Amino acid sequence: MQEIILIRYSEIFLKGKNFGFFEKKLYDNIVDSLQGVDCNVVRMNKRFYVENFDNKFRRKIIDRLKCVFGICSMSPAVMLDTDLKTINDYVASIKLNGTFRVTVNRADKRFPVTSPDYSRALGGIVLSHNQGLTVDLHNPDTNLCVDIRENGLTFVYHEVIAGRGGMPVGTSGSGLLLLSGGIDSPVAGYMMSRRGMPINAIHFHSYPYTSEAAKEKVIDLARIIKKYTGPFKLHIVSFTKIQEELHKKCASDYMITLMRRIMYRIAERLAKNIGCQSILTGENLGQVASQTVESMTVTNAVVEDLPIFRPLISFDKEDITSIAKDIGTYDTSILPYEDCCTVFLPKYPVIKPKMEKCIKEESKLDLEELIAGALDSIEIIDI
Amino acid sequence: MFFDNASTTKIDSRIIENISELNEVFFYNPGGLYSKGRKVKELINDCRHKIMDKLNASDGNIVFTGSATEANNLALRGTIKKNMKALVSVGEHPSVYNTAIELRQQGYKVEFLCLDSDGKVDLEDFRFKMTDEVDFVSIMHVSNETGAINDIAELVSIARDINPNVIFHCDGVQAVGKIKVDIDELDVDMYTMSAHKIYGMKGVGALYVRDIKKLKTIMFGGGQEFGLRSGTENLIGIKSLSDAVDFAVSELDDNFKNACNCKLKFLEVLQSSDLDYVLNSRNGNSPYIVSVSFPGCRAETLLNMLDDEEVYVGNGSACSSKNSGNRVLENMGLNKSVIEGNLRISFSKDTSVEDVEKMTILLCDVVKKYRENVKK
Repeated sequence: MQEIILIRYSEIFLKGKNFGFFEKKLYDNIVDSLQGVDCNVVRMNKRFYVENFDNKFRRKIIDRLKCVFGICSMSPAVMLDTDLKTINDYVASIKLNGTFRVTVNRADKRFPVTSPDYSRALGGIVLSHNQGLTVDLHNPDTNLCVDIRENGLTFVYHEVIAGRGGMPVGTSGSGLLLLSGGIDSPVAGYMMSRRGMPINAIHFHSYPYTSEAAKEKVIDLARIIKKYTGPFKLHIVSFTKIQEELHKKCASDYMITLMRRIMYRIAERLAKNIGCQSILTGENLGQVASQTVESMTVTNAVVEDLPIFRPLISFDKEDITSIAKDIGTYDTSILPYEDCCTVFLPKYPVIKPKMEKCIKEESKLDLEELIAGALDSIEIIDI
Repeated sequence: MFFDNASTTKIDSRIIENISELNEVFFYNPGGLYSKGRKVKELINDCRHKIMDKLNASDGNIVFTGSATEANNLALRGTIKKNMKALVSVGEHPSVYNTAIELRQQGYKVEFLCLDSDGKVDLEDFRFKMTDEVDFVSIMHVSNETGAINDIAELVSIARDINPNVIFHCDGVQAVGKIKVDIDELDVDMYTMSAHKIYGMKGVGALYVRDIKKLKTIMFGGGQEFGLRSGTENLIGIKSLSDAVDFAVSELDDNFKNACNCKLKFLEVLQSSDLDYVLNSRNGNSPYIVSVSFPGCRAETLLNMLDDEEVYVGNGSACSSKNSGNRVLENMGLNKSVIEGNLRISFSKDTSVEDVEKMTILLCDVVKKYRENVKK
């Protein structure tokens, strides 16, 4: 008899011939997530389990696994040899309160008793060893599950802990996340990672107009989402000179639009330099002036070769906030340190910018020099 | 160059020497029944008496705490009861103001006093709100934002004329060792002080209490400090506070004169530049603190630019569009642009007029550069 943590995976079940690639990646990610914890991860048919750990680390293991994309659910369980007496004896030792039911899954058809019959038999055993317990087949306090597998092993558990679902990170193409200090962009990074995308990040910093504390806040946010995305590099770009030039030379109502066009250009160049295959943003339709269809059209236009993914485009703010709270970024995001998008903010930013006007305003600048300067200024932080 | 001395000061080397010697020999727990423990207790009591003597408090006692914040919390939360009414100035340090807000949210009767345009408690407002139903008043001696000095003796006198039993607490953190503080003359019931504002250690403060029996503890444990502040007493911290008060009060006049000269030099250089600025500190204020605003500038940016020049000043406002505003300056009636561009320059006894001149020139340069960069 051994205590284990059973791990079930989700969508990768649906994969056909390349199922092995996804499963291996998930296995590797699970092993990576459990670095520093003394345990083994074992692969068996269509699921994994963690074994050989000190029980005092059980909660820690589960907390780590909750951050691994690709896991549908997990259960602390007891693993037994498939043997009638062994299973019966173990079930007899379980102490329960309130109401219960027994659910038997007999994947191993060699097992001599059918699932319904064995459920009833085990139910009887539980009742005879627990005073005051009653059966509730519809809404029990405890659903005692007995999973008889084909490999001669049986798993007994009653707790099913939800995983984060999604796909294992590293099974999809990569993305460069435009990470600000706000609520949305860390959530966008999380959402794309959840589809298997490994990410890197870029942040635009305007010291002295923004503080070192604002930069530290972004680094803290990056460290929080790393729990889910895995390690990545945060590229911090000095945007001060660009903002000052835009402010001096260009129409103030186009300030934000032009800033974002330049940011996207820099992001695309960096993404290509470091091998990222897409650009990710936390844009959300209608939230602010730079996030109208017209604004996104003119900012999209400067990105020539890479797709731009906006996983939050149709979310309500409430939904984004809810995810931010769930993943642990919200409290840091709301700290009052401004990022560069609010410095030099015009009183009335344009909400439906015109492409011709953007091009005309940009002609007043030496864009190449500004972008080259910004790329040269990049500070890389390993997250 | 450090010009944020209202936030903290460098420890006086004499104090370091004194506490080092003490720590080598008297590390014992003053609660110990053995002779060494009793000796430590005696030394702590010596510090108590020294402070009382220097601040001319002829009765009452000193309760040592871990900070002025703790002392202020003790003063308010240890006194105000549900059936009491309290008046608190809106210009108080967050350790008083936020405690008062919390008490109000818990259902205690707390009302706030307005400030006048000089940053002092508005006397008319005080006369209006101070009724015989008010049992507790808390007004700071010197504003940590602007250096404005409240006439505590007069305010106490007005309060006691209306309710002789009113308990009057005064946060004296920016006053002790900087202006004359005579507890008997002020006639306050409680007075807060802090070591690290006057060249002592961080992590130690004190509350003068006229009548210990009227105060209840907010911290439970071994019952030290008359049952009001449990926790093993910090002899070297306490000694640093006692020495800090001793030196600062003894050297008050010379240091005050130096601070006045520093303030004058600052204003002289500022005036001789052609910069647009607003001075929020008045002539009669504590010369140790100068609040000045540069309208149209963001204080945080100026701070960062000065930081690059290794000049460190205080920020009088919370400079973020998400959290803009400064309670004290807002209540003085200042507008948003003035508040956003507010800096706090504060001097120590060791600040030289030459350094003030250098700093002010740099500040003017930085403001000019900022305004150039943001000009359309």
